[in-house]
Amino acid sequence: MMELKKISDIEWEIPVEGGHRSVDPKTQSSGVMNVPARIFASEELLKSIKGDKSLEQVKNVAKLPGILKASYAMPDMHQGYGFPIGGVAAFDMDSGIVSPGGVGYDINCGVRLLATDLSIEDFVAKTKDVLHDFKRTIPSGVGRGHKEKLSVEDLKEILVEGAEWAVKKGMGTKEDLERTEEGGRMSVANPEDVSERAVRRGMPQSGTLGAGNHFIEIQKVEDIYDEDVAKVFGLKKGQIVVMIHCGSRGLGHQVASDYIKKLENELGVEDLPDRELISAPIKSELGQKYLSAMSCAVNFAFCNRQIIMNYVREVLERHFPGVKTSLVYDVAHNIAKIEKHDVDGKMKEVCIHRKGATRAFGPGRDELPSVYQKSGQPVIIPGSMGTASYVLVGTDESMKLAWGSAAHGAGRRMSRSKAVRELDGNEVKKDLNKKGIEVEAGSIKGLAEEAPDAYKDVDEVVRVTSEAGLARPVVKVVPIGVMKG
Amino acid sequence: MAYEFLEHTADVKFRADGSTVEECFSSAADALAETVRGEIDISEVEEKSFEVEGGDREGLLYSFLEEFLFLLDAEDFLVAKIKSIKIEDLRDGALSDSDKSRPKADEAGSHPESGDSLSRVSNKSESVSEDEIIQLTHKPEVVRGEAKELGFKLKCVVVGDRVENYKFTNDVKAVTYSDMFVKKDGNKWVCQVVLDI
Repeated sequence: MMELKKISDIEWEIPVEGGHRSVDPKTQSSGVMNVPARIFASEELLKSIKGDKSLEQVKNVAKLPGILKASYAMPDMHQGYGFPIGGVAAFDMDSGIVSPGGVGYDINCGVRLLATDLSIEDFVAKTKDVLHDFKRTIPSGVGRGHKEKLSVEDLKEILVEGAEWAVKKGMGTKEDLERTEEGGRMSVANPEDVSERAVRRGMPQSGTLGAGNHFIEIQKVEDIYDEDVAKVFGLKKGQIVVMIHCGSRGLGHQVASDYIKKLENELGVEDLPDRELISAPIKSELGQKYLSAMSCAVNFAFCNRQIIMNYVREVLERHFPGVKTSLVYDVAHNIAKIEKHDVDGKMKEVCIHRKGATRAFGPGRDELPSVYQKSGQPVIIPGSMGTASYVLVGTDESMKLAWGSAAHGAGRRMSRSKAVRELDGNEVKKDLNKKGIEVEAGSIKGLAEEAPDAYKDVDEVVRVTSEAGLARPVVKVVPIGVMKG
Repeated sequence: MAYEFLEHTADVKFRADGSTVEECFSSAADALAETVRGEIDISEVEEKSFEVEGGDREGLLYSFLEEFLFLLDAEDFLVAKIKSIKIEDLRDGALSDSDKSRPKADEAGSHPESGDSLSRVSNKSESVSEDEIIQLTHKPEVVRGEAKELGFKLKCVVVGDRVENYKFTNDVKAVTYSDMFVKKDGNKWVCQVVLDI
């Protein structure tokens, strides 16, 4: 059993182990923890965390070269590959590494929230029609790309320009870009670093939702916890908002696979505690190439969400002519990037990995648009299908705790196979309908897999996130219509 | 030839086996296919062939399974059945003594497999220098054809149909190395894979 030291009711530590530190010259790995691991969780959440390998994984991350302060885990953590889902780690630019396993396969899987000027009273009678129209208009599911595939040239432009590409083509506004993490475009993105295979997997999938846990949800603002900040975010009680959750699809998955293989071929895998923890020094040629290719996939995902939001706006306009909408924010959940943080009293650049975690920057950060300079950034935490989701705000405190990061969702607690065995998709749908939630799903089995019972309690995740000071709740939204891929 | 699904919190995990590495890989492909398309039967309309390479058996299995995801995403192609699969050991004269005790190649046309595990490029062949390896892995488009110095090559012929003729929703994002192994257990080959969903 590994030691888990209680710091408080919502914070736990795996201390650095003693022992000999012989550093392998090739992998730079000492095989022992360089820093402690810090887990933000309640006793309740720990129960399911202890049920899988996530604690071992957060400990493995602490062994990586150049890791700073601690290997962090967010309250929604669960087992990933290499890094746990909910893992956050920063690395020194000179002695540290970048790892595809610290980002995940769905690079820039993320979520955006679109606010409307419609109220629940205006909307509710049309929920079913709108949802149906979403399903008809927005490509989703497997192998359901655009009928007209993009050209290679278009795709390469998207890899460089991200969401700007969509706006350039008339699918959005400048304000949308300001309200997207990184402005919807990571700068060091060279398509030359992306394999032809990745490009070919991405071409039919631009602007598609995909399947699995990806969704579009029509929600109403249920509760306001911070009136002032809610006003800044443009949110008020009873208002209709639309949440979009998707990522970089096959293109991002292929980039991750490609670089895991390249790194293996170069470095070997013998000394790794986990093959998915393969990494390269940040400033090495391969490290830089991965960051560039990953940025391309990040841009592809930003563009996807922008295109999908444009479909959403079109559908809303069809049913509510003259409707006004504005993007609250778009956040990435799986990403690595160079950010400036306080390291031992000095502001310096570090390479942050957030895998199943949301950036939660507090007020005054340069990265935030002027509208959120005073408040801090919106932190969007989607719940599972049919349950509440939350918008929180980054705080000064979050900057000091885990590199300005917070949880990213409910986090699974039940395997898909168990969910399918134990839950009936038709029942799940009935339950949702009873709660006043309309559902458009690609399959009944998918409904069982994504059932609320298969996930941790998002309310508890948000409570711990808030109590730990990682981010402060602003509003709670509840679904009235769900579209699954 | 068989496979079974195991518990995994977030993703799909399975174990597959066969009397040869080829059969074992085929079973793994069946498990992946079931994850992607569920119980739907796919017609055998079109034939495709591909080749993948890997430094060790795990790497080979990873690339092999990934090819099915590539065919699905990039070529809108769903595999119904593997027609033939053949694994070739690329290391000249690198077969170890333990090979003699292994079962004979089956009708699928398999080449005898080396029993020792290979996990580093640099351990493989004397004919390839360290410099060449570095240089090869630095080329931007080397993902597919980089493997002249690697350990194994797999050739596969599959039959299947266009994806638009079917409706299903299980999106497998990627093959992972998490908890992956390929090993000989008694007179069987067994592998384990976690798919990112």
